Amino acid sequence: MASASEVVRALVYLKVTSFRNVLVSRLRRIKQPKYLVGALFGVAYFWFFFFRRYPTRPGGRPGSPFNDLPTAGLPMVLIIGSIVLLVFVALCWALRRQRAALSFTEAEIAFLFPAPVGRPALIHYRLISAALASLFTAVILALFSRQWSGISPHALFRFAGWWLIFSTVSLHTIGSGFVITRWQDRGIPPLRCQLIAWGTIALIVGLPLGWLWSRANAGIELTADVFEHGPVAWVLYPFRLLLAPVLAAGLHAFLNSLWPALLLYAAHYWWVLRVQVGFEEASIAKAEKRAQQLAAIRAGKWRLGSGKEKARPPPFNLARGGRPELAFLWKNLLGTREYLTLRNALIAAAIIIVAGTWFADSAFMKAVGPPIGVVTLIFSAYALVLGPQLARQDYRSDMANTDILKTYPLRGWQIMLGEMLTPAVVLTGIIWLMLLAGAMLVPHGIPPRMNWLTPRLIILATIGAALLVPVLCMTQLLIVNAGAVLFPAWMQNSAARGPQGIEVMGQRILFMVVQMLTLIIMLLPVSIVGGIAFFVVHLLAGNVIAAAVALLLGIAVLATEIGVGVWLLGSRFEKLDLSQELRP
Amino acid sequence: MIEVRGLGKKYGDFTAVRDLSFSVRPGQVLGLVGPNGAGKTTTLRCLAGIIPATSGEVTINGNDLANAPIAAKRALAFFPDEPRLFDYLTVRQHLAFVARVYGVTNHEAIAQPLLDEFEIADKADELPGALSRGMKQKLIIACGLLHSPRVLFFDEPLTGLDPLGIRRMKKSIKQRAQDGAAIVLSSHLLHLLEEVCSNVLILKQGTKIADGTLAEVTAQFSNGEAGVSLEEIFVRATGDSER
Repeated sequence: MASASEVVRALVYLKVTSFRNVLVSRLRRIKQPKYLVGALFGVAYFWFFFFRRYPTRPGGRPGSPFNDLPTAGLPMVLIIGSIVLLVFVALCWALRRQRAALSFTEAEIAFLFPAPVGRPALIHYRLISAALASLFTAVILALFSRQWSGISPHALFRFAGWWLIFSTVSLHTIGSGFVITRWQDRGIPPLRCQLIAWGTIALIVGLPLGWLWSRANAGIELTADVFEHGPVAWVLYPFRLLLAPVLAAGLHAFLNSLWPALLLYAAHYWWVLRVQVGFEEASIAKAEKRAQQLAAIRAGKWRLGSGKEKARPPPFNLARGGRPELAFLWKNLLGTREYLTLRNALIAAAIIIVAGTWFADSAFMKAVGPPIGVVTLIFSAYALVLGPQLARQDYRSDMANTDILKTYPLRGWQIMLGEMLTPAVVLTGIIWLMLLAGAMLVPHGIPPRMNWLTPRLIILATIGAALLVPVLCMTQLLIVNAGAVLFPAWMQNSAARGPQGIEVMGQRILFMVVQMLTLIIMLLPVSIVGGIAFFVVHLLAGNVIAAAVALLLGIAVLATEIGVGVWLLGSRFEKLDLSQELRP
Repeated sequence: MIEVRGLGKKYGDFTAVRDLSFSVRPGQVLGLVGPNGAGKTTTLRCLAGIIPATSGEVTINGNDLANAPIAAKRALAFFPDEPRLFDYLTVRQHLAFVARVYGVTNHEAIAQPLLDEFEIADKADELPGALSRGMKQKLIIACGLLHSPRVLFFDEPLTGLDPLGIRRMKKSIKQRAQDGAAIVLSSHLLHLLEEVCSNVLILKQGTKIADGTLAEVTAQFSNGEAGVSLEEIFVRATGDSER
């Protein structure tokens, strides 16, 4: 049986050799112009976001002009971070159902499992691998968090802090899985295991939550000070220990915070080794599942919101006759998650409305409602921009079926329109719900200086935004699907999760830049027409009517552009020979 | 039923198919054969309207494929060698979707006998992931036959089928031909051609080498010898590529 040191040596050899080979293959790839251009864009991106120096603000450290929080925000960063970690750890225990499995690749299983390597050595191997993987994540986050207020200004402290957080959380995930598997091995049914976990969590989290609720209802403002005393502080204490190094402002603070965090990490490592259970079978199943997922991703079949393949009930009854485009909507909706239904959307809307109205006057709602509302609106904007990139239940996921689609007795524009309907419908529904939540929550916290923002105006603005959402979604979906039809090889390369590097990232950025430019060009006529309409009408009928007219005209212009775009894309699709396009 | 006149397909400077003309009448099964890279799949994809031809005319059931593609496609079905299915549609949902696309209003009445014929009725509520390759192939064929096409194109129809499946497939092709369909199939399996095809078209480097009934093509390359096998005919017709 191989000793732990031999396993470690094998691990080092494997990692170093693999890293060297990846580096060599990427350098070779850069010889191709498309990858060279991609690499240049990737490097430029990194430089712009991570290394470019922003002007120094008086009295402050160099930083981005838009994200400096007041120093008073620091404890709140610690509190929010601790709560996030608490929630994550709680979910580790609460959601665990299956046997614990360690993440080995299929190759690692093939070589290491039959090898004369003991279970503890395999666990060491896996834990050290996870720790090394965390190094990369820590580097990226250390770069990203460079200008976050409250986070340490020193790169090394940030790096060490992030690494400790990710490594310890990773160990906790493994350890919690081992513990629950141990319970199951002792004959406790999985459901009872979950009930034990849920009960413990409810006890640990419920006590401070109840305490907070009582403070809020007693009229005490929920400032950072409240979170630093009493049951809340006790529960959050270990998480605060873990977060402290990444927030350390100087060397002294860092060293003081480092040893408790390291101790926590070491305790977790010891705990995982101590509670070890049989993980081999589950690990093999996990590796196989991951390999299948990777194969699906490489085949361009990965889609947001799609989980394990299982038949779901039809989203609606497909009538025997009617527009064929609706058949595509029906088909692609079947590829989304089961809960994405009109019924559930209506239930969610009803809950938002009822909860927003019912708790409107409570102190708790007044304290947390507006920030949640603002965050929801920010997320809705993100969903609008990023959603069409991620929700791929359209032609992008049907590229492999192009030959079959082309034999259908339909015009190209019908196929393209039908393919785009599902992500448009799903994204519109999600964003509408977010807008509704924002409109319900934000009005509770409008400061007096913004009293011009009346409830009536908020409702009108929400309706206006809601009307814009479907056309904006369709515009972006048109652009990304045009990418798939016009540059199928590029799109496939972008979808694949094979060996990647800065050059592939650069290619994606380049593609996104082109998409954004196209979007701006498409929105230009909309802005001109809307602007002129607003200017003319507001002279005659006031701002509200002018805004409504401008909005409707803008939507009409954009809808026309979408119509023309879909028709042109359909014509191109009819001439497309995918097999020829995908030739290397 | 299928009229092809001067069909050509170019990819840049490369000519995949050159000046191809032939016709397939109702009840005929045309076997498209030739060495790898002869242009068989390109020809089939041009005939099915998947890719546009560079030159020439294709008429399907009286409809010009270039000028009336929708009417032409309503009459045809294309069966690719690799069964491509929608991952999240069950067998039954595939049929419902295809029925809507082709405007088949009474598809349940047609679908059930097809499911029975291809022995996938018990898998009707399964996703493609739960089907073997042969079953996927059968589902593709069931989908293609749902709108009762008059013209059928098969690209390597026996790939992935078990012996029983092969027997059923051959029977099914012959049955469709007897019912009046015009069929073109491409295959490397010469015994399939001997059993199923009434006509043969040999392609080599995109050019037609021979076209006619099995007896006519055999006579053309047998040099008067008796009992020459189709394999020998194929080698003689396309032999240059082997040297």
